[in-house]
Amino acid sequence: MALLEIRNLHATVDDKPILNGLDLTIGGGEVHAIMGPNGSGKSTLSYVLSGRDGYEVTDGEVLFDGKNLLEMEADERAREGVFLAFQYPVEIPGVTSITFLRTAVNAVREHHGGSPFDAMDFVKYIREKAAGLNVSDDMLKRAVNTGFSGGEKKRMEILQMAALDPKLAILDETDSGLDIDALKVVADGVNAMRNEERGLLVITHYQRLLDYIVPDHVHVLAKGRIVKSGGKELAHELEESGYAEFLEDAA
Amino acid sequence: MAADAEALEQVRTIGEQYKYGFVTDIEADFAPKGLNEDIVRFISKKKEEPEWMLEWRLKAYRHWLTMEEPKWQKPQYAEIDFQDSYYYAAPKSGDKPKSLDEVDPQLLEVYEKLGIPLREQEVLAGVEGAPAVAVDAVFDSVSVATTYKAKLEEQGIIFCSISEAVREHPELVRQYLGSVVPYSDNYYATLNSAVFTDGSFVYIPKGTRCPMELSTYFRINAENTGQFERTLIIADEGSYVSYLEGCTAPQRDDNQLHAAVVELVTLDDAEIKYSTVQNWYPGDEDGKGGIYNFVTKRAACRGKNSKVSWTQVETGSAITWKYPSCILQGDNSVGEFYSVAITNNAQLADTGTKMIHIGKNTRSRIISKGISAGHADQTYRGLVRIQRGANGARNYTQCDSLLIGDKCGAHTIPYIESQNPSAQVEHEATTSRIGEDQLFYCRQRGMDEEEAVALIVNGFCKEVLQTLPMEFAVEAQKLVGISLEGSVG
Amino acid sequence: MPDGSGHMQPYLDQALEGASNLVGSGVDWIDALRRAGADAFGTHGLPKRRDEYWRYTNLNALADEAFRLANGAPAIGLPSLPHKLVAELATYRMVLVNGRLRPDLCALDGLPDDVLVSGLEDLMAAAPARLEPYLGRIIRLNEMPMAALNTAFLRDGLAMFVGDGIVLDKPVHLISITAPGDGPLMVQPRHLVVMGKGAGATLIETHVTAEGGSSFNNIVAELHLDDGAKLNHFVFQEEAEASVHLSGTAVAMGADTTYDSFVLQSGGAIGRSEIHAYLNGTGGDCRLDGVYLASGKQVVDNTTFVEHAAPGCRSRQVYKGVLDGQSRGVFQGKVHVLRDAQQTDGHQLSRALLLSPRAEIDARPELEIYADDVKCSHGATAGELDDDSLFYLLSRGIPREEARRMLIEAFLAEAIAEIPLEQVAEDFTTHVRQWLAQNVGNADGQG
Repeated sequence: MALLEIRNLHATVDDKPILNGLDLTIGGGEVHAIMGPNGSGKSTLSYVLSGRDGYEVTDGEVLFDGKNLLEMEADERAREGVFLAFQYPVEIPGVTSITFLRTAVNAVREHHGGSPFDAMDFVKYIREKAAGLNVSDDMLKRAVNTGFSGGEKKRMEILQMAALDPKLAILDETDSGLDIDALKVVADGVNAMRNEERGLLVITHYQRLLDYIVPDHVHVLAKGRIVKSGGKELAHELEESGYAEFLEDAA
Repeated sequence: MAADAEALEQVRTIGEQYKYGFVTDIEADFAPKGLNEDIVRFISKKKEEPEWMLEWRLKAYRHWLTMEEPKWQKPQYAEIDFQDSYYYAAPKSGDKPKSLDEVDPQLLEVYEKLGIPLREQEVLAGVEGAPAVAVDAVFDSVSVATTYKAKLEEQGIIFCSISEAVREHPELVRQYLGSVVPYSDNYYATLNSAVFTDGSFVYIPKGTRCPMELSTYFRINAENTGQFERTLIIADEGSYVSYLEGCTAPQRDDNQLHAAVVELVTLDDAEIKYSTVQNWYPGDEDGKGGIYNFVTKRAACRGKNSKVSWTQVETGSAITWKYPSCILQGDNSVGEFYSVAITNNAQLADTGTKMIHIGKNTRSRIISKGISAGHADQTYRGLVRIQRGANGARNYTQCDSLLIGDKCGAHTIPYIESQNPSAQVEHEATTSRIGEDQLFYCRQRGMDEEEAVALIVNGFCKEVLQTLPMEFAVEAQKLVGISLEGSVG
Repeated sequence: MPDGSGHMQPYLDQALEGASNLVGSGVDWIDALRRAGADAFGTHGLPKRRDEYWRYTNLNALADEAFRLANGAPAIGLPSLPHKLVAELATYRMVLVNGRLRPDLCALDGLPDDVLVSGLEDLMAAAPARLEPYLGRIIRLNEMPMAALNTAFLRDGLAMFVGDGIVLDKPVHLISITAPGDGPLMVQPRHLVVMGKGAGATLIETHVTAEGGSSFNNIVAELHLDDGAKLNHFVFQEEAEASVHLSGTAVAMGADTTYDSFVLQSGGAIGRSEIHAYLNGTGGDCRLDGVYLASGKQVVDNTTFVEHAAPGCRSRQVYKGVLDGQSRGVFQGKVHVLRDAQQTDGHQLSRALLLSPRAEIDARPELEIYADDVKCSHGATAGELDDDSLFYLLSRGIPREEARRMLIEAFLAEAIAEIPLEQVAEDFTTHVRQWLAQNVGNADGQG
């Protein structure tokens, strides 16, 4: 049984069709990259999978670990093990990052029958994970994403991923706005999470990120469908030839 | 800091929203229904008050008859029939118990159910590290127990019910009662002056720092009674006290009236910290029933360098109408007001503060966070008045409103009156909502909607909640989460 | 039913006197309008302290003195105006003396077709049907008692209609002169401006008083902006020391309209500019700005109500004032966001400088919000000049009085800089400098 099975997925936003029959299967331990021109539906896919309001599924189905994902509420999906690293993480003033994280981690733990962390234990837990990502104690004490630079926000997303230990992690244009050094830190963090069970779906516009997070499969998303799939070389081909041919073909 | 498992449970149970809504079957002693001079005498007699106290009450009652109920505040409420209520209801248990052992166990149980375990408090006193809080428990119209009295007396601190203070410390009461809120001050304060039944009296002697939190817990139980408590706190030179007021009432269909008066006096270099976590019954979703909470709270910072800090978390009551104020008379005196007011369903609140700057170099700070949900309507009405001689006065005010859903309203009306050019007054207000993006972000991290709202709202209120004494900060955070149950989606 | 307040009756009586001889009487809707005004004023009476929006502005002067309605327009010539650049600007000029049109002083040549600038009375006589859809339609009589009084009179003033798509090439300058004679004289002018779809215009109003006794000027203006219209509105209020100047304006804004108003008040014993803006269509943009200067015992009042009734509208208000002597400044700004007005963007700022120990500022910035997807804020500050800034200038050798004047001017400049019409901005700045030269830098000007 695959970790994630998307079959013939159709979705609209404001009554506009964005996903038009998307098929994708991700097995445990696999890293898939999705590339595509702007407007192809990349972010829409990530929002439909994570269950954001305003995105209506008009046809198709999604099975996560054999369960019907589309029937679940957003937070249920998260507790089941779906994680979305946002392209533009939102600010939540007054709520410290550490408090936010502890609340989330405990919610997931309880769902799986585990016992929640108390404040002290959680600090230890998170510091371990934070060290590898250059996330300082100071950042943890600040309000979520408030006053964070682009790089800090992305590192915080990866820290959250590490803390929540998801089965499937969707990275929505994680590289946007980052310079090479920041990119390396983020990529190292992601790579550290690769294992036999976890699935990774990396959504990106540029090939550069895939030099650091090397995918097993690369797919091209154009006009709401996967129009071509291949190995990691496909990413390089795209970099050379661009997306033009797919925009014509996928009419 | 998340809503813990117990609170979550409550949140998920429909129809059991207000967990304090139970009624206790305790035999009570009632005065005849209605309000007239005889009732005033009845109350005074029951409390064995000296002649001067009765005279003061009668003066107030006669003045009340000449006054008109005020109509300027925004919440519109059904007419209150003052004759259709009891002004005195006390649990029938004879003389005031000298120790907790003598208190009717049923009464003790009430407080335990409310999370105020009077007996355990005293027992824990010997355990190292356990926080001690002295509690004066007021059930309907009487104080039924006051813990730690003896211990506090050793330091010269007087903490007792006001009825007792009138009998045992008449000079102090006479000197200060009505000196901050005169009997003629406003309609409800005047009514209170005539028929107040109990409340707390605190006196901290010179140079003494009260070693524990003092608290009074009010519980309205009997039907159709109004609660008119009167509290008087005096901090003598160089003293400090932190006082907490909490209140609950059972779930009923009719509205009940709570018209209290709180007077605080600080002399030179003294400080009073007064915190309120108010959770009266708010009425049901359609606004039926619930407490009318009309309160006059005022602090006179008489002494130089004196300070009064009001912190309130208001989540209950059908209609709230209160403006804790500070009269900053002493030079360098400081007044602070921190408030979180949550209105949900059909609650109405018109609340705020008044800071009157009279002395030199006085400072005031107002942080008000209002959260409105359901069909609720909330008004912040604040006055900052800088009198002519108040050189060097400084005020900073921040009022923020958070609207949840599109059927509620938030109204901010600050009045800034400055007559002194060297005073600096700064006021800011913002209105916002819980963003879809913020909610989704939290949910994508595994929190359900209620948790997410509680988290974000607590973040919004953080600045205020931080000023509460620690024990109550946790309670308040839970309360915030519970009060907003069902408000989103 | 009249509230029995004796002070109101003499004013009402004057409104009803000879009502049947007034222009427009006999026309049903005009009669009804005057009656509605009289009724509303009769019910409310002269505003008193206990009226929420009049608690800081005391109108006892109106109760104490028996102001009489002006009788016709005296034959005085155009005085020299305090604002040189605006006076020299090429404009379409309308002149009212004591609230009555003086055609001989007007200059309306070259008005494009489909633009009508006329006296209100003339239009009531000649073509009342043209006025019917607009006159009296947007003033909320129960909320504006002094406007109700004006409506009971309803005589002369400016009537301006700008047709669809027309953008006027020159500003319209309305010069309002009050000539009180021996006084006490009352004037009740009424203005109406109707902007068609996509129309554009600039209206400059100058209010001055000729030498003489005391006067009471009670002005009402109704402005209608149809979809896409744009109106810039600049007001110089420089009445004499012994005058009471009350101005009530209601603006109804359609979709994608812009109303940009700037009021400079520095005259009168009491000067009140009250503006009610109703954002009724999406995309409306309302800017209400003002500067006020007061000294002696003047009372200067800026009261605004902005109602966001439609979604997606913006409103901005910045009012700055300087108060000297024993003067009193009042700022009351209410932003009301109705339930459907999502995506509202409303901001308000009031800043006042007190220059003397007996001056006073009363501010009441109010927000009433019923929609949750809005961005609203307001701020109010009151204080004095910053010591550090003052010291900095002193340490560079600038004499104290001059330093104070510079800082105050800088404080006000921020607001004035926003004015899109250069000549108006410059004239305002010149006026501020003159005021400062007269009021700041005397021996008793305290720091």
